[in-house]
Amino acid sequence: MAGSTPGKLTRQALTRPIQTVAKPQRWRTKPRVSFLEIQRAEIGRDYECSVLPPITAEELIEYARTLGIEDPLWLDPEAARAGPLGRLVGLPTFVVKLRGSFYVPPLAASEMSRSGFVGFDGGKDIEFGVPIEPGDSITVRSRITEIYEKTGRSGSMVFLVYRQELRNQRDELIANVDSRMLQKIPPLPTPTVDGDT
Amino acid sequence: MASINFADLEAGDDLPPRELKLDSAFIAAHANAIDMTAPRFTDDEGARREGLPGQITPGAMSMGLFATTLMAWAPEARLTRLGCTFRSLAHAGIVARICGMVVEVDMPRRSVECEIWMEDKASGDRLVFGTATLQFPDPPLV
Repeated sequence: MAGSTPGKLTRQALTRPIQTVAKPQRWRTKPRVSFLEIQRAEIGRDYECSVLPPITAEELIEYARTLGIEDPLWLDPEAARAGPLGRLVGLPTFVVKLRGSFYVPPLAASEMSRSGFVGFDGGKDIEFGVPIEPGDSITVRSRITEIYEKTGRSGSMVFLVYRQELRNQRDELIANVDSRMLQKIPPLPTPTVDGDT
Repeated sequence: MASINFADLEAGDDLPPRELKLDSAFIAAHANAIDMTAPRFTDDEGARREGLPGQITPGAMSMGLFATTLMAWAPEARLTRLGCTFRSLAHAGIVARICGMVVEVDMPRRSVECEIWMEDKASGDRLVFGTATLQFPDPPLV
């Protein structure tokens, strides 16, 4: 690992205490923090670098099993050893489980933590790298990549796109996961005319 | 499922459709496996407490089902990209139909672009729409 290369993880980065931010736990009816309140300067800046607990074979198998997979290549380490990769690996979309934290605007952290609800999950784009294996220690780096507004038939919405870059202990890319969260923008209050109370 | 031959693929080829019942226990088990244990993913009552009509499928689960559909269709290929838009809620209890189509074949790079989507079999409504890239291995040297 090239420890001095800008943007690359160092051993120190991998072992330093991780930033802890509250994960959203509950759905709420209305977002309390608007994506529009997020400072543009925060776009592109890493807001999180977390090292996740090591991946276990059991969780890779459980992921495959609960998707209805019956092929022993994904369920049985012995069968996987005799397979084309010679070892058990996770299904590529297992990476959806490896969520870091959702972005918490620094100025609104307590409010965000209290409200929990951050928006609807509009979709994801995932670029897959090397397969994930039991014992992998995954580092998640997260940053906002885009905030934009869009108006459709159901009204105006604001989209926040954030990237979670997942790398293993060899600094190999496991995946780039781009998530699109959306919030509906409430309509402006109807203007009152002079004389109205 | 029979293996496919990369050289035979053309834009417009359909992937074999896959049907599956999104029953409550199936969704809840997978939601637990991916640590998405919000009540809307685990049971109807919890979902109603959250203001939804009933239990729904996590978008991340739909992506998993897309991946396994693509990998069953082309087991020798590697899934290198998958993008999805969660258009509508996939409610528990529906029979989902996952369909797909080849939209581009890059012969020199031996990669294939596919569209893939999940629809409610009863209504025909498209619930999740995605695109994917599959990378096929080089042919064996003769």
